[in-house]
Amino acid sequence: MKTIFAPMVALVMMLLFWWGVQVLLDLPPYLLPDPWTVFGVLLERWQDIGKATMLTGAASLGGLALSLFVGCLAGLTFARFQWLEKGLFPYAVFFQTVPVVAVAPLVILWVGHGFLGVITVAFIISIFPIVSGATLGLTRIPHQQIELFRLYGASRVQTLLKLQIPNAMEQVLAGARVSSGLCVIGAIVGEFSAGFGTGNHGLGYLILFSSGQLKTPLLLASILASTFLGFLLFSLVHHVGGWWLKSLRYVQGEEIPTQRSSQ
Amino acid sequence: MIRYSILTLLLLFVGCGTPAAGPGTLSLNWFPEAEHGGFFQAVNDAKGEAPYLIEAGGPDVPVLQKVAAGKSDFGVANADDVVNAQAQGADVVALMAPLFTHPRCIMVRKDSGVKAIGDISNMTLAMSSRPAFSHWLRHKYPFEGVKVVPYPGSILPFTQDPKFAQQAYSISEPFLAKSKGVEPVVLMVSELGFNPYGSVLIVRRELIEKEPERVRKVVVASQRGWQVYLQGGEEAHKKIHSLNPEMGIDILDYGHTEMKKLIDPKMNQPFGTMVADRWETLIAQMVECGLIKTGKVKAQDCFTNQFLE
Repeated sequence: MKTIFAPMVALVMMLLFWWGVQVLLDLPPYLLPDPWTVFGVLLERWQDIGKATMLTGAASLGGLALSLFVGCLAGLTFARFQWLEKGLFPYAVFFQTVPVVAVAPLVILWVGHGFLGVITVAFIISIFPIVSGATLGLTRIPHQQIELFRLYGASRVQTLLKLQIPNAMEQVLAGARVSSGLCVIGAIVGEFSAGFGTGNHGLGYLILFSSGQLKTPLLLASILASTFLGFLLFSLVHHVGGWWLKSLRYVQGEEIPTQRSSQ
Repeated sequence: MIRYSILTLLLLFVGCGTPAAGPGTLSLNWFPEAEHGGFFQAVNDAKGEAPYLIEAGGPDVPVLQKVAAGKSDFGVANADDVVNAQAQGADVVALMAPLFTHPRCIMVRKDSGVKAIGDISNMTLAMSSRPAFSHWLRHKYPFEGVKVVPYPGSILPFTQDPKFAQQAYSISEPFLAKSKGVEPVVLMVSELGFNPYGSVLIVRRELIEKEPERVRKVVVASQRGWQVYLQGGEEAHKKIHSLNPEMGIDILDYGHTEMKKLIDPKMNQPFGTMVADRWETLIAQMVECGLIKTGKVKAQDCFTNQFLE
Protein backbone atom coordinates (compact mmCIF):
# COMPACT_ATOMS: atom_id res chain seq x y z
CA MET A 1 0.00 0.00 0.00
CA LYS A 2 2.80 2.35 0.98
CA THR A 3 4.57 1.81 -2.34
CA ILE A 4 1.49 2.90 -4.30
CA PHE A 5 0.69 5.90 -2.15
CA ALA A 6 3.58 8.22 -3.09
CA PRO A 7 3.32 7.71 -6.89
CA MET A 8 -0.45 8.22 -6.69
CA VAL A 9 -0.03 11.54 -4.88
CA ALA A 10 2.53 12.58 -7.50
CA LEU A 11 0.12 11.59 -10.27
CA VAL A 12 -2.72 13.64 -8.82
CA MET A 13 -0.38 16.61 -8.38
CA MET A 14 0.81 16.37 -11.97
CA LEU A 15 -2.74 16.16 -13.30
CA LEU A 16 -3.72 19.18 -11.23
CA PHE A 17 -0.68 21.11 -12.51
CA TRP A 18 -1.55 20.20 -16.10
CA TRP A 19 -5.15 21.24 -15.59
CA GLY A 20 -4.08 24.44 -13.81
CA VAL A 21 -1.76 25.47 -16.64
CA GLN A 22 -4.50 24.82 -19.18
CA VAL A 23 -7.11 26.83 -17.28
CA LEU A 24 -4.86 29.69 -16.14
CA LEU A 25 -3.31 30.33 -19.55
CA ASP A 26 -6.69 29.69 -21.20
CA LEU A 27 -5.14 27.43 -23.81
CA PRO A 28 -7.23 26.16 -26.71
CA PRO A 29 -7.51 22.36 -26.98
CA TYR A 30 -5.40 22.15 -30.15
CA LEU A 31 -2.43 23.48 -28.13
CA LEU A 32 -3.09 21.76 -24.82
CA PRO A 33 -6.34 20.02 -23.99
CA ASP A 34 -7.19 19.55 -20.31
CA PRO A 35 -6.51 16.09 -18.84
CA TRP A 36 -10.21 15.15 -18.78
CA THR A 37 -10.52 15.72 -22.53
CA VAL A 38 -7.55 13.42 -23.10
CA PHE A 39 -9.08 10.77 -20.82
CA GLY A 40 -12.35 11.26 -22.68
CA VAL A 41 -10.57 10.46 -25.95
CA LEU A 42 -8.92 7.45 -24.31
CA LEU A 43 -12.35 6.15 -23.29
CA GLU A 44 -14.08 7.05 -26.53
CA ARG A 45 -11.43 5.47 -28.76
CA TRP A 46 -10.15 2.78 -26.41
CA GLN A 47 -10.63 0.13 -29.09
CA ASP A 48 -8.43 1.92 -31.64
CA ILE A 49 -5.84 2.91 -29.07
CA GLY A 50 -5.92 -0.53 -27.44
CA LYS A 51 -5.44 -2.29 -30.75
CA ALA A 52 -2.61 0.07 -31.71
CA THR A 53 -0.94 -0.46 -28.33
CA MET A 54 -1.16 -4.25 -28.72
CA LEU A 55 0.34 -4.10 -32.19
CA THR A 56 3.17 -1.77 -31.18
CA GLY A 57 3.65 -3.86 -28.05
CA ALA A 58 3.98 -7.05 -30.08
CA ALA A 59 6.58 -5.45 -32.35
CA SER A 60 8.46 -4.06 -29.33
CA LEU A 61 8.52 -7.48 -27.69
CA GLY A 62 9.70 -9.00 -30.96
CA GLY A 63 12.52 -6.49 -31.20
CA LEU A 64 13.46 -7.02 -27.56
CA ALA A 65 13.46 -10.81 -27.92
CA LEU A 66 15.65 -10.56 -31.01
CA SER A 67 17.97 -8.18 -29.14
CA LEU A 68 18.23 -10.58 -26.23
CA PHE A 69 18.99 -13.51 -28.49
CA VAL A 70 21.50 -11.78 -30.76
CA GLY A 71 22.92 -9.70 -27.92
CA CYS A 72 23.66 -12.71 -25.72
CA LEU A 73 25.10 -14.59 -28.66
CA ALA A 74 27.36 -11.64 -29.47
CA GLY A 75 28.33 -11.38 -25.82
CA LEU A 76 29.29 -15.08 -25.73
CA THR A 77 31.32 -14.71 -28.90
CA PHE A 78 33.09 -11.64 -27.57
CA ALA A 79 33.84 -13.37 -24.29
CA ARG A 80 35.23 -16.46 -26.00
CA PHE A 81 37.30 -14.61 -28.59
CA GLN A 82 38.70 -11.52 -26.93
CA TRP A 83 40.35 -10.35 -30.12
CA LEU A 84 36.91 -10.24 -31.71
CA GLU A 85 35.66 -8.10 -28.85
CA LYS A 86 38.59 -5.73 -29.28
CA GLY A 87 37.93 -5.52 -32.99
CA LEU A 88 34.14 -5.39 -33.07
CA PHE A 89 32.93 -3.86 -29.82
CA PRO A 90 33.64 -0.30 -31.01
CA TYR A 91 31.34 -1.02 -33.93
CA ALA A 92 28.63 -2.31 -31.62
CA VAL A 93 28.54 1.23 -30.27
CA PHE A 94 27.32 2.15 -33.74
CA PHE A 95 23.92 0.73 -32.80
CA GLN A 96 23.82 3.07 -29.83
CA THR A 97 24.77 6.22 -31.72
CA VAL A 98 23.05 5.70 -35.07
CA PRO A 99 20.21 8.20 -35.61
CA VAL A 100 17.44 5.67 -35.87
CA VAL A 101 15.00 8.10 -37.50
CA ALA A 102 17.40 8.52 -40.41
CA VAL A 103 18.28 4.85 -40.73
CA ALA A 104 14.74 3.50 -40.49
CA PRO A 105 13.81 4.32 -44.12
CA LEU A 106 16.96 2.54 -45.29
CA VAL A 107 16.27 -0.49 -43.16
CA ILE A 108 12.81 -0.69 -44.72
CA LEU A 109 14.43 -0.65 -48.12
CA TRP A 110 16.50 -3.67 -47.13
CA VAL A 111 14.07 -5.79 -45.14
CA GLY A 112 10.76 -4.53 -46.53
CA HIS A 113 7.66 -2.90 -45.09
CA GLY A 114 5.39 -4.33 -42.46
CA PHE A 115 5.88 -6.13 -39.17
CA LEU A 116 9.39 -7.39 -39.93
CA GLY A 117 10.59 -3.87 -40.78
CA VAL A 118 9.21 -2.50 -37.51
CA ILE A 119 10.81 -5.30 -35.49
CA THR A 120 14.15 -4.67 -37.18
CA VAL A 121 14.16 -1.01 -36.20
CA ALA A 122 13.14 -1.92 -32.63
CA PHE A 123 15.99 -4.44 -32.61
CA ILE A 124 18.60 -1.94 -33.84
CA ILE A 125 17.77 0.59 -31.17
CA SER A 126 17.60 -1.93 -28.31
CA ILE A 127 20.53 -4.29 -28.91
CA PHE A 128 23.47 -2.30 -27.56
CA PRO A 129 22.66 -2.32 -23.82
CA ILE A 130 22.29 -6.10 -24.00
CA VAL A 131 25.53 -6.75 -25.92
CA SER A 132 27.30 -4.45 -23.53
CA GLY A 133 25.79 -6.06 -20.43
CA ALA A 134 26.44 -9.60 -21.64
CA THR A 135 30.03 -8.91 -22.64
CA LEU A 136 30.77 -7.14 -19.40
CA GLY A 137 29.16 -9.80 -17.25
CA LEU A 138 30.90 -12.68 -19.03
CA THR A 139 34.36 -11.16 -18.92
CA ARG A 140 34.62 -9.06 -15.77
CA ILE A 141 34.93 -11.78 -13.17
CA PRO A 142 36.96 -11.54 -9.97
CA HIS A 143 40.25 -13.25 -10.75
CA GLN A 144 40.18 -15.23 -7.47
CA GLN A 145 37.08 -17.01 -8.72
CA ILE A 146 38.66 -17.80 -12.07
CA GLU A 147 41.73 -19.09 -10.33
CA LEU A 148 39.58 -21.21 -8.03
CA PHE A 149 37.91 -22.80 -11.06
CA ARG A 150 41.28 -23.38 -12.64
CA LEU A 151 42.63 -24.89 -9.43
CA TYR A 152 39.85 -27.47 -9.39
CA GLY A 153 40.52 -28.23 -13.04
CA ALA A 154 37.18 -26.99 -14.36
CA SER A 155 36.80 -27.30 -18.11
CA ARG A 156 36.09 -24.29 -20.29
CA VAL A 157 32.42 -25.31 -20.61
CA GLN A 158 32.10 -25.76 -16.86
CA THR A 159 33.64 -22.36 -16.23
CA LEU A 160 31.24 -20.83 -18.72
CA LEU A 161 28.13 -22.51 -17.37
CA LYS A 162 28.85 -22.29 -13.66
CA LEU A 163 30.82 -19.08 -13.36
CA GLN A 164 30.60 -16.77 -16.35
CA ILE A 165 26.93 -17.11 -17.24
CA PRO A 166 25.61 -16.82 -13.66
CA ASN A 167 27.87 -13.82 -13.27
CA ALA A 168 26.50 -12.23 -16.46
CA MET A 169 22.79 -12.73 -15.80
CA GLU A 170 22.42 -9.66 -13.64
CA GLN A 171 24.18 -7.48 -16.20
CA VAL A 172 22.07 -8.84 -19.05
CA LEU A 173 18.95 -8.12 -17.04
CA ALA A 174 20.13 -4.56 -16.39
CA GLY A 175 20.73 -4.15 -20.11
CA ALA A 176 17.32 -5.61 -20.92
CA ARG A 177 15.66 -3.14 -18.57
CA VAL A 178 17.18 -0.25 -20.52
CA SER A 179 16.31 -1.94 -23.81
CA SER A 180 12.68 -2.50 -22.80
CA GLY A 181 12.04 1.24 -22.98
CA LEU A 182 14.14 1.73 -26.09
CA CYS A 183 12.41 -0.98 -28.09
CA VAL A 184 9.06 0.80 -27.74
CA ILE A 185 10.63 3.95 -29.19
CA GLY A 186 12.15 1.81 -31.94
CA ALA A 187 8.80 0.23 -32.77
CA ILE A 188 7.11 3.63 -33.00
CA VAL A 189 9.84 5.18 -35.14
CA GLY A 190 9.94 2.00 -37.21
CA GLU A 191 6.25 2.31 -37.89
CA PHE A 192 6.71 5.89 -39.11
CA SER A 193 8.69 4.37 -41.98
CA ALA A 194 7.56 0.78 -42.28
CA GLY A 195 3.93 0.77 -41.24
CA PHE A 196 2.16 -2.43 -40.29
CA GLY A 197 0.47 -2.71 -43.66
CA THR A 198 -2.99 -1.73 -44.86
CA GLY A 199 -5.53 -1.22 -42.12
CA ASN A 200 -3.20 -2.25 -39.30
CA HIS A 201 -2.45 0.81 -37.24
CA GLY A 202 -0.01 0.94 -34.37
CA LEU A 203 0.78 3.86 -32.09
CA GLY A 204 3.17 5.32 -34.67
CA TYR A 205 0.30 5.73 -37.12
CA LEU A 206 -1.95 7.28 -34.48
CA ILE A 207 0.79 9.75 -33.51
CA LEU A 208 1.49 10.81 -37.11
CA PHE A 209 -2.17 10.96 -38.06
CA SER A 210 -3.37 12.91 -35.05
CA SER A 211 -0.57 15.47 -35.23
CA GLY A 212 -1.17 16.02 -38.95
CA GLN A 213 -4.86 16.61 -38.35
CA LEU A 214 -4.34 18.87 -35.31
CA LYS A 215 -6.09 16.28 -33.13
CA THR A 216 -3.99 17.12 -30.09
CA PRO A 217 -6.16 15.24 -27.55
CA LEU A 218 -5.74 12.04 -29.59
CA LEU A 219 -2.02 12.78 -29.97
CA LEU A 220 -1.61 13.10 -26.20
CA ALA A 221 -3.71 9.98 -25.62
CA SER A 222 -1.42 8.07 -28.02
CA ILE A 223 1.68 9.40 -26.28
CA LEU A 224 0.20 8.32 -22.93
CA ALA A 225 -0.44 4.86 -24.38
CA SER A 226 3.17 4.72 -25.63
CA THR A 227 4.62 5.60 -22.25
CA PHE A 228 2.27 3.14 -20.59
CA LEU A 229 3.51 0.46 -22.97
CA GLY A 230 7.14 1.29 -22.18
CA PHE A 231 6.34 1.14 -18.48
CA LEU A 232 4.57 -2.20 -18.93
CA LEU A 233 7.51 -3.74 -20.77
CA PHE A 234 9.94 -2.38 -18.21
CA SER A 235 8.04 -3.93 -15.31
CA LEU A 236 7.65 -7.16 -17.24
CA VAL A 237 11.40 -7.42 -17.76
CA HIS A 238 12.12 -6.24 -14.23
CA HIS A 239 9.78 -8.66 -12.47
CA VAL A 240 9.99 -11.71 -14.70
CA GLY A 241 13.74 -11.31 -15.05
CA GLY A 242 14.18 -10.76 -11.32
CA TRP A 243 12.01 -13.74 -10.48
CA TRP A 244 13.88 -15.91 -12.95
CA LEU A 245 17.26 -14.90 -11.57
CA LYS A 246 16.11 -15.68 -8.08
CA SER A 247 14.78 -19.09 -9.04
CA LEU A 248 18.03 -19.89 -10.86
CA ARG A 249 20.01 -19.09 -7.76
CA TYR A 250 17.99 -21.50 -5.69
CA VAL A 251 18.78 -24.21 -8.19
CA GLN A 252 22.44 -23.36 -8.30
CA GLY A 253 22.58 -22.31 -4.67
CA GLU A 254 25.39 -24.68 -3.81
CA GLU A 255 27.60 -23.34 -6.53
CA ILE A 256 27.23 -19.74 -5.43
CA PRO A 257 27.15 -19.75 -1.66
CA THR A 258 28.05 -16.06 -1.36
CA GLN A 259 24.75 -15.07 -2.95
CA ARG A 260 22.75 -17.04 -0.43
CA SER A 261 24.52 -15.72 2.62
CA SER A 262 23.85 -12.18 1.50
CA GLN A 263 20.07 -12.73 1.49
CA MET B 1 7.17 13.81 -33.87
CA ILE B 2 8.97 14.39 -30.63
CA ARG B 3 10.15 17.66 -32.06
CA TYR B 4 6.57 18.52 -32.82
CA SER B 5 5.39 17.79 -29.30
CA ILE B 6 8.18 19.85 -27.83
CA LEU B 7 7.31 22.72 -30.12
CA THR B 8 3.70 22.53 -29.09
CA LEU B 9 4.74 22.60 -25.46
CA LEU B 10 7.07 25.52 -26.07
CA LEU B 11 4.23 27.41 -27.68
CA LEU B 12 2.30 27.07 -24.43
CA PHE B 13 4.81 28.91 -22.41
CA VAL B 14 5.32 31.67 -24.90
CA GLY B 15 1.60 32.23 -25.33
CA CYS B 16 0.22 34.97 -27.51
CA GLY B 17 2.62 37.86 -27.41
CA THR B 18 1.85 41.29 -28.77
CA PRO B 19 2.80 41.65 -32.44
CA ALA B 20 6.36 42.88 -32.82
CA ALA B 21 7.21 46.00 -34.78
CA GLY B 22 8.34 45.46 -38.36
CA PRO B 23 7.15 42.77 -40.69
CA GLY B 24 5.58 39.63 -39.29
CA THR B 25 6.62 36.11 -40.15
CA LEU B 26 5.40 33.77 -42.85
CA SER B 27 5.71 30.16 -41.77
CA LEU B 28 6.22 27.70 -44.63
CA ASN B 29 4.78 24.18 -44.55
CA TRP B 30 7.89 22.60 -46.06
CA PHE B 31 11.51 23.30 -46.91
CA PRO B 32 11.60 26.18 -49.42
CA GLU B 33 10.54 24.87 -52.84
CA ALA B 34 8.81 25.96 -56.04
CA GLU B 35 5.45 25.69 -54.29
CA HIS B 36 6.48 28.81 -52.31
CA GLY B 37 7.94 30.72 -55.27
CA GLY B 38 5.48 33.62 -55.28
CA PHE B 39 6.07 34.39 -51.62
CA PHE B 40 9.84 34.59 -52.15
CA GLN B 41 9.21 36.78 -55.17
CA ALA B 42 7.07 39.10 -53.02
CA VAL B 43 9.95 39.55 -50.56
CA ASN B 44 12.39 40.04 -53.42
CA ASP B 45 10.27 42.73 -55.08
CA ALA B 46 9.37 44.63 -51.93
CA LYS B 47 10.25 48.30 -52.11
CA GLY B 48 11.27 49.27 -48.62
CA GLU B 49 10.01 46.92 -45.96
CA ALA B 50 9.38 43.29 -46.88
CA PRO B 51 5.80 42.07 -46.37
CA TYR B 52 7.04 39.25 -44.11
CA LEU B 53 10.09 37.35 -42.94
CA ILE B 54 9.94 33.86 -44.37
CA GLU B 55 10.47 31.01 -41.90
CA ALA B 56 11.40 27.76 -43.63
CA GLY B 57 9.43 24.71 -42.56
CA GLY B 58 9.86 20.95 -42.73
CA PRO B 59 7.95 17.74 -42.22
CA ASP B 60 7.13 18.32 -38.56
CA VAL B 61 6.54 22.06 -38.39
CA PRO B 62 3.08 22.76 -36.95
CA VAL B 63 2.24 25.71 -39.21
CA LEU B 64 -1.45 25.82 -38.33
CA GLN B 65 -0.79 25.74 -34.60
CA LYS B 66 1.86 28.45 -34.92
CA VAL B 67 -0.45 30.73 -36.88
CA ALA B 68 -3.46 30.03 -34.66
CA ALA B 69 -1.47 30.70 -31.49
CA GLY B 70 0.04 33.92 -32.85
CA LYS B 71 3.60 32.62 -32.96
CA SER B 72 3.59 33.34 -36.70
CA ASP B 73 1.47 36.02 -38.28
CA PHE B 74 1.03 34.27 -41.60
CA GLY B 75 1.53 30.79 -42.94
CA VAL B 76 1.40 28.63 -46.05
CA ALA B 77 -0.77 25.54 -45.91
CA ASN B 78 -3.21 23.44 -47.90
CA ALA B 79 -6.95 23.98 -47.80
CA ASP B 80 -7.53 20.68 -45.97
CA ASP B 81 -5.21 21.87 -43.17
CA VAL B 82 -7.43 24.92 -42.73
CA VAL B 83 -10.52 22.70 -42.46
CA ASN B 84 -8.76 20.53 -39.86
CA ALA B 85 -7.76 23.63 -37.90
CA GLN B 86 -11.33 24.96 -37.96
CA ALA B 87 -12.62 21.57 -36.82
CA GLN B 88 -10.34 21.77 -33.77
CA GLY B 89 -11.41 25.29 -32.91
CA ALA B 90 -8.33 27.05 -34.29
CA ASP B 91 -9.68 30.11 -36.08
CA VAL B 92 -7.39 30.19 -39.09
CA VAL B 93 -8.55 31.80 -42.34
CA ALA B 94 -7.33 31.39 -45.94
CA LEU B 95 -6.59 34.72 -47.66
CA MET B 96 -5.41 33.74 -51.12
CA ALA B 97 -5.01 30.51 -53.06
CA PRO B 98 -2.21 30.65 -55.66
CA LEU B 99 -2.73 27.05 -56.78
CA PHE B 100 -6.21 26.53 -58.15
CA THR B 101 -5.42 22.88 -58.82
CA HIS B 102 -3.58 21.00 -56.11
CA PRO B 103 -0.26 19.49 -57.29
CA ARG B 104 -0.99 16.27 -55.36
CA CYS B 105 -0.66 13.18 -57.50
CA ILE B 106 -0.01 9.48 -57.30
CA MET B 107 3.12 8.62 -59.25
CA VAL B 108 3.39 5.16 -60.78
CA ARG B 109 6.04 3.72 -63.05
CA LYS B 110 5.31 3.52 -66.73
CA ASP B 111 6.39 -0.13 -66.77
CA SER B 112 3.65 -0.92 -64.20
CA GLY B 113 1.04 -0.38 -66.91
CA VAL B 114 -1.26 1.46 -64.48
CA LYS B 115 -3.29 4.24 -66.15
CA ALA B 116 -5.62 5.42 -63.37
CA ILE B 117 -5.53 5.62 -59.58
CA GLY B 118 -8.59 3.34 -59.37
CA ASP B 119 -6.68 0.66 -61.31
CA ILE B 120 -3.96 0.34 -58.71
CA SER B 121 -4.03 -3.22 -57.40
CA ASN B 122 -1.51 -5.74 -56.10
CA MET B 123 1.10 -3.05 -55.58
CA THR B 124 2.75 -1.14 -52.77
CA LEU B 125 1.31 2.36 -52.41
CA ALA B 126 3.18 4.86 -50.23
CA MET B 127 0.99 7.58 -48.74
CA SER B 128 1.33 9.66 -45.60
CA SER B 129 -1.53 9.47 -43.12
CA ARG B 130 -1.31 13.21 -42.45
CA PRO B 131 -2.89 14.89 -45.48
CA ALA B 132 -6.62 14.38 -46.07
CA PHE B 133 -6.25 13.06 -49.62
CA SER B 134 -4.85 9.69 -48.46
CA HIS B 135 -7.91 9.06 -46.29
CA TRP B 136 -10.23 10.10 -49.07
CA LEU B 137 -8.54 7.84 -51.63
CA ARG B 138 -8.65 4.87 -49.28
CA HIS B 139 -12.29 5.54 -48.59
CA LYS B 140 -13.10 5.87 -52.29
CA TYR B 141 -11.17 3.02 -53.90
CA PRO B 142 -10.92 -0.64 -52.99
CA PHE B 143 -7.16 -0.89 -53.72
CA GLU B 144 -7.36 -4.65 -53.88
CA GLY B 145 -4.18 -6.42 -52.86
CA VAL B 146 -2.54 -3.04 -52.32
CA LYS B 147 -0.17 -2.67 -49.41
CA VAL B 148 -0.48 0.90 -48.18
CA VAL B 149 2.78 1.95 -46.52
CA PRO B 150 4.03 5.25 -45.06
CA TYR B 151 5.45 7.84 -47.42
CA PRO B 152 9.23 7.25 -47.51
CA GLY B 153 10.19 10.90 -48.10
CA SER B 154 12.42 9.86 -50.98
CA ILE B 155 11.93 8.30 -54.40
CA LEU B 156 14.52 5.60 -53.80
CA PRO B 157 12.02 2.71 -53.36
CA PHE B 158 10.20 3.96 -56.47
CA THR B 159 13.33 3.54 -58.56
CA GLN B 160 13.85 0.01 -57.25
CA ASP B 161 10.45 -1.60 -57.68
CA PRO B 162 8.08 -1.41 -60.70
CA LYS B 163 5.21 -2.34 -58.36
CA PHE B 164 5.77 0.70 -56.16
CA ALA B 165 3.41 3.68 -56.37
CA GLN B 166 3.74 6.78 -54.21
CA GLN B 167 2.22 10.11 -53.36
CA ALA B 168 3.97 13.04 -55.03
CA TYR B 169 3.69 16.64 -56.13
CA SER B 170 3.39 16.95 -59.90
CA ILE B 171 5.80 19.90 -59.72
CA SER B 172 8.64 17.98 -58.11
CA GLU B 173 9.01 14.18 -57.82
CA PRO B 174 8.38 13.28 -61.49
CA PHE B 175 11.47 15.32 -62.33
CA LEU B 176 13.54 13.37 -59.82
CA ALA B 177 12.24 10.05 -61.14
CA LYS B 178 13.16 11.00 -64.71
CA SER B 179 16.60 12.15 -63.61
CA LYS B 180 17.12 8.70 -62.07
CA GLY B 181 16.15 7.11 -65.37
CA VAL B 182 12.69 5.90 -64.35
CA GLU B 183 9.77 7.00 -66.51
CA PRO B 184 6.87 8.08 -64.24
CA VAL B 185 3.16 8.34 -64.94
CA VAL B 186 1.51 11.19 -63.04
CA LEU B 187 -2.06 10.53 -61.91
CA MET B 188 -3.53 13.76 -60.53
CA VAL B 189 -5.74 13.35 -57.47
CA SER B 190 -7.57 16.53 -58.50
CA GLU B 191 -8.92 14.76 -61.58
CA LEU B 192 -10.81 12.38 -59.31
CA GLY B 193 -12.61 15.31 -57.74
CA PHE B 194 -10.52 15.79 -54.61
CA ASN B 195 -8.92 19.16 -55.10
CA PRO B 196 -8.18 21.40 -52.12
CA TYR B 197 -6.59 24.76 -52.87
CA GLY B 198 -2.81 24.56 -52.58
CA SER B 199 -0.07 26.84 -51.14
CA VAL B 200 -2.78 28.89 -49.45
CA LEU B 201 -1.82 32.03 -47.52
CA ILE B 202 -3.31 31.79 -44.02
CA VAL B 203 -3.75 34.10 -41.02
CA ARG B 204 -5.57 33.95 -37.70
CA ARG B 205 -8.90 35.77 -37.68
CA GLU B 206 -7.86 37.98 -34.79
CA LEU B 207 -5.26 39.66 -37.01
CA ILE B 208 -7.82 40.38 -39.73
CA GLU B 209 -10.02 42.09 -37.16
CA LYS B 210 -7.23 44.00 -35.41
CA GLU B 211 -4.97 45.00 -38.30
CA PRO B 212 -6.92 44.71 -41.55
CA GLU B 213 -4.68 47.22 -43.30
CA ARG B 214 -1.55 45.19 -42.59
CA VAL B 215 -3.23 41.99 -43.74
CA ARG B 216 -4.36 43.72 -46.94
CA LYS B 217 -0.80 44.85 -47.70
CA VAL B 218 0.53 41.33 -47.21
CA VAL B 219 -2.17 39.79 -49.39
CA VAL B 220 -1.65 42.28 -52.20
CA ALA B 221 2.13 41.90 -52.06
CA SER B 222 1.74 38.10 -52.21
CA GLN B 223 -0.66 38.34 -55.16
CA ARG B 224 1.84 40.47 -57.06
CA GLY B 225 4.70 38.22 -56.03
CA TRP B 226 2.91 35.22 -57.45
CA GLN B 227 1.97 36.93 -60.69
CA VAL B 228 5.54 38.11 -61.24
CA TYR B 229 6.93 34.73 -60.22
CA LEU B 230 4.79 32.89 -62.74
CA GLN B 231 6.20 35.10 -65.52
CA GLY B 232 9.85 34.46 -64.73
CA GLY B 233 10.95 33.01 -61.44
CA GLU B 234 14.75 33.29 -61.69
CA GLU B 235 15.20 35.56 -58.66
CA ALA B 236 12.90 33.52 -56.44
CA HIS B 237 14.61 30.31 -57.55
CA LYS B 238 18.01 31.68 -56.63
CA LYS B 239 16.75 32.58 -53.19
CA ILE B 240 15.07 29.19 -52.70
CA HIS B 241 18.19 27.38 -53.87
CA SER B 242 20.38 29.34 -51.47
CA LEU B 243 18.11 28.42 -48.56
CA ASN B 244 17.56 24.82 -49.62
CA PRO B 245 20.57 23.68 -51.69
CA GLU B 246 18.90 20.30 -52.19
CA MET B 247 16.54 22.07 -54.58
CA GLY B 248 18.59 22.54 -57.74
CA ILE B 249 17.73 25.31 -60.19
CA ASP B 250 16.77 22.66 -62.77
CA ILE B 251 14.10 21.06 -60.57
CA LEU B 252 12.79 24.50 -59.60
CA ASP B 253 12.49 25.42 -63.27
CA TYR B 254 10.64 22.17 -63.87
CA GLY B 255 8.29 22.99 -60.99
CA HIS B 256 7.75 26.45 -62.41
CA THR B 257 6.67 25.07 -65.79
CA GLU B 258 4.40 22.46 -64.21
CA MET B 259 2.89 24.96 -61.81
CA LYS B 260 1.61 27.15 -64.62
CA LYS B 261 -0.81 24.31 -65.40
CA LEU B 262 -2.20 24.55 -61.87
CA ILE B 263 -3.23 28.22 -61.95
CA ASP B 264 -6.85 29.31 -62.33
CA PRO B 265 -7.49 29.17 -66.08
CA LYS B 266 -10.15 31.88 -65.89
CA MET B 267 -8.31 35.17 -65.58
CA ASN B 268 -11.44 37.27 -65.03
CA GLN B 269 -11.12 37.54 -61.25
CA PRO B 270 -8.37 38.72 -58.92
CA PHE B 271 -5.43 36.32 -58.65
CA GLY B 272 -5.89 33.77 -55.87
CA THR B 273 -9.68 34.10 -55.59
CA MET B 274 -11.44 31.22 -53.84
CA VAL B 275 -14.96 29.92 -54.35
CA ALA B 276 -17.23 28.80 -51.49
CA ASP B 277 -18.37 25.74 -53.49
CA ARG B 278 -14.86 24.35 -53.55
CA TRP B 279 -14.56 24.67 -49.76
CA GLU B 280 -17.98 23.08 -49.28
CA THR B 281 -17.00 20.14 -51.48
CA LEU B 282 -13.78 19.69 -49.54
CA ILE B 283 -15.58 19.78 -46.18
CA ALA B 284 -18.15 17.25 -47.44
CA GLN B 285 -15.36 14.96 -48.66
CA MET B 286 -13.53 15.17 -45.34
CA VAL B 287 -16.77 14.34 -43.50
CA GLU B 288 -17.38 11.46 -45.90
CA CYS B 289 -14.06 9.78 -45.13
CA GLY B 290 -14.45 10.31 -41.40
CA LEU B 291 -11.81 12.98 -40.81
CA ILE B 292 -14.19 15.55 -39.34
CA LYS B 293 -17.70 15.42 -37.92
CA THR B 294 -20.75 16.66 -39.82
CA GLY B 295 -21.63 20.32 -39.24
CA LYS B 296 -18.39 21.07 -37.42
CA VAL B 297 -16.89 23.36 -40.08
CA LYS B 298 -18.61 25.97 -42.24
CA ALA B 299 -17.15 26.95 -45.62
CA GLN B 300 -17.55 30.68 -44.99
CA ASP B 301 -15.39 30.43 -41.85
CA CYS B 302 -12.49 28.96 -43.81
CA PHE B 303 -11.66 31.75 -46.25
CA THR B 304 -12.09 35.34 -47.30
CA ASN B 305 -11.52 37.08 -50.63
CA GLN B 306 -11.96 40.54 -49.09
CA PHE B 307 -8.32 41.62 -49.45
CA LEU B 308 -7.75 40.50 -53.03
CA GLU B 309 -7.27 43.17 -55.67
